[in-house]
Amino acid sequence: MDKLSKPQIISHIEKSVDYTIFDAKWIPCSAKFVIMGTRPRGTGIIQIYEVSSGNLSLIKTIDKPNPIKCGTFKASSLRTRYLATGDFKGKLQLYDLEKPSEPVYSANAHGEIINAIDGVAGDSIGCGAPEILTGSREGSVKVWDIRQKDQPVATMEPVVGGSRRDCWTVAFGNSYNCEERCVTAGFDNGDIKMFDLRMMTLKWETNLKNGVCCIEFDRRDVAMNKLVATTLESKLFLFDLRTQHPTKGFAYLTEKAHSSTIWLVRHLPQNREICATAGGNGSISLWKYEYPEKRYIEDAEGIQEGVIGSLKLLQQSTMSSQPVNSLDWSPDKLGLAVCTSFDQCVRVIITTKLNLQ
Amino acid sequence: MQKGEGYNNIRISKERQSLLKKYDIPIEFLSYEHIGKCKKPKELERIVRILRSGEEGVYPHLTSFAEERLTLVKPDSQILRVVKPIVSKSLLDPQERKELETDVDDWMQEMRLRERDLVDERMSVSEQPLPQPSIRTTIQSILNKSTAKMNSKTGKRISACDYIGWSKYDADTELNRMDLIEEQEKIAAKRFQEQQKVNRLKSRKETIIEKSLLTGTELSVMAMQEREKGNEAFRAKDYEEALQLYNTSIAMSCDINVYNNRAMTHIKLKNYEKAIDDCNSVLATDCMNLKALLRRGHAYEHLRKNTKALNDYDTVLRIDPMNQIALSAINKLRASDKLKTTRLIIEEIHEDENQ
Repeated sequence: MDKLSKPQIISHIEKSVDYTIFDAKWIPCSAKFVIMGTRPRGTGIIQIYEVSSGNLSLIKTIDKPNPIKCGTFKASSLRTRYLATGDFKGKLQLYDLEKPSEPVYSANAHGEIINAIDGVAGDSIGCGAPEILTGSREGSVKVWDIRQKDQPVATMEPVVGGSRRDCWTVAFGNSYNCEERCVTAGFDNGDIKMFDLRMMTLKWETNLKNGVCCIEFDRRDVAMNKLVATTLESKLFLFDLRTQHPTKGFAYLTEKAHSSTIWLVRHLPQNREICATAGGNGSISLWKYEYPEKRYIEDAEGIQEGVIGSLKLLQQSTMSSQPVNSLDWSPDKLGLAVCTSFDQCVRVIITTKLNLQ
Repeated sequence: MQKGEGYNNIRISKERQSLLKKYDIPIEFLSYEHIGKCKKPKELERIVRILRSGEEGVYPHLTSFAEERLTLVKPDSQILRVVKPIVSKSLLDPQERKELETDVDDWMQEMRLRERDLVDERMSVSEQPLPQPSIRTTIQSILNKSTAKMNSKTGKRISACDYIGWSKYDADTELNRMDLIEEQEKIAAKRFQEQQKVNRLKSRKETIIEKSLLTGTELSVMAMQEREKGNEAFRAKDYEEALQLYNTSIAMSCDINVYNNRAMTHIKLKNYEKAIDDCNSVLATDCMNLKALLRRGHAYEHLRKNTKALNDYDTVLRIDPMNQIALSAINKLRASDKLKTTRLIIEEIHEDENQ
């Protein structure tokens, strides 16, 4: 009975490559994905693969001078499907995958490596302008609009002369109408900062006492609901963002998993209550959030305080002996995902019975 | 003598406490009798940890017995989590494997078609770009602003030997002052939350969709996304939000499933008339839609249009004679009808007697 209702993670296709992969992303509205990384001689590479009858067929290889750390399609429309990438030299570039020799847009975004990139509002209407978010080792976080050349539309950086923390992860959220939008960044000292882009104020900040490896909102384009942050020493934090208490902040829960660094968290595009985390021991965990009876309580003065629900572990599988450094759920097929790990291997995995959850 | 208290263990416990001591569990607890009776999940977890560590000796059977007991007492315990190796495709049974492969292949074919559509449509759509919100005006913010406020109170501390200072100190006014500050803080907090709520309400989503500028594929993909978001909001019981999202989805492309979902949302929000309208839209395209019939019946029931409700439930039973929801609803309706009629009869007799 238990076995029947539990989702199962199945390795569908495995393929080894001869370079180090940093990121993998599905191309929206297709059975193709791109993987980005660095060749042994220190140049960048982007490859496009297509899933076809139990195999992966290589469609295209694109060589670039600098190693590519991260990429996203989230800020491009279905019509263009441009890939935005961040590289080791701090360059932000936008490629048309049909004519990839020259970037459509290019900016010297940061002085050092771009660790994380995110996009918003590319394929939806009424969620504001499409924008790209980059976070770099130099400690700054920048927001880009590709209609504006060379200059970011918003910059958040440490004071001159102040301590600069390595920014490891960035995420867009709360973009539920044309004006509202939030940016969240996680730093190597455990800081999480959330900015309101409309008001350009710091909305919330906290410290998790441990390097923040990955942050993700459960959805970018709804009124902010949940946020998951993972840390260097095997902990994950889930915040309920609906109710902010003036002194206590957001209600949250923590879980210990993977018994090593939790490299990333990715919510299922088809169901925001389910997310996957990937760990340094090469394992993937599937979680499901369950809401509490009532999402907030009110004290005698009428001040609301959030109530956190519970997080259930659905499945846990070891995939590789090396850390899993990227995972992307297909936006077009429930349960299909591509993931890569440091063993230079791409895997297409299928998770069954997710619709029963 | 206690087992496992060998030379090795003593040496280890000198360096660091043994688990047994750390958890303060007597050695007698590591027995079948105690574990079989133990109902405290925390204690069982600790016993399992001790047994697994092998510090008190290795007892494979006792360990598995304790683990079994823990699964009974606390099935979702963290220490019972097992990491399984990923299931490889070749290990699945042939039937399952075939199903999986055909599923992926079908999806791949579908995606290829959709991609071709996207390319074809791109040619047909006018070159006019989509209307987009204006570019954000360039803004800059500084990260490490010192957020810690200077506390004004700390400067005014009266030192212990400052007798003149203390003689001037009035405890009552000081207490009043503290109360006042506290109250002000509370008011500020309340205002902060109210402001947040107002912001959220004010900035409701109003999507203007220029259908002519979008291609069919784009619209259908977006409509599906909005529907999924609506379903999520519905499951999280944010019915207002779900309603907005379903509205956008319907504005993009008409799908009877979305109408059906919106009907349910209207029922939850007690807009029964609107729910009936949505069910009618579904039934106009698919007159055998069970969900829509059940929902319309439910809405009629709330509007006290019992004959219409009964009608809908009857139709459901004609399609699916064993439908439990319809059966129980009909029974309930009939029972309440009977109650009314009997009461009427009683009244009539009563009147007769009076005459």
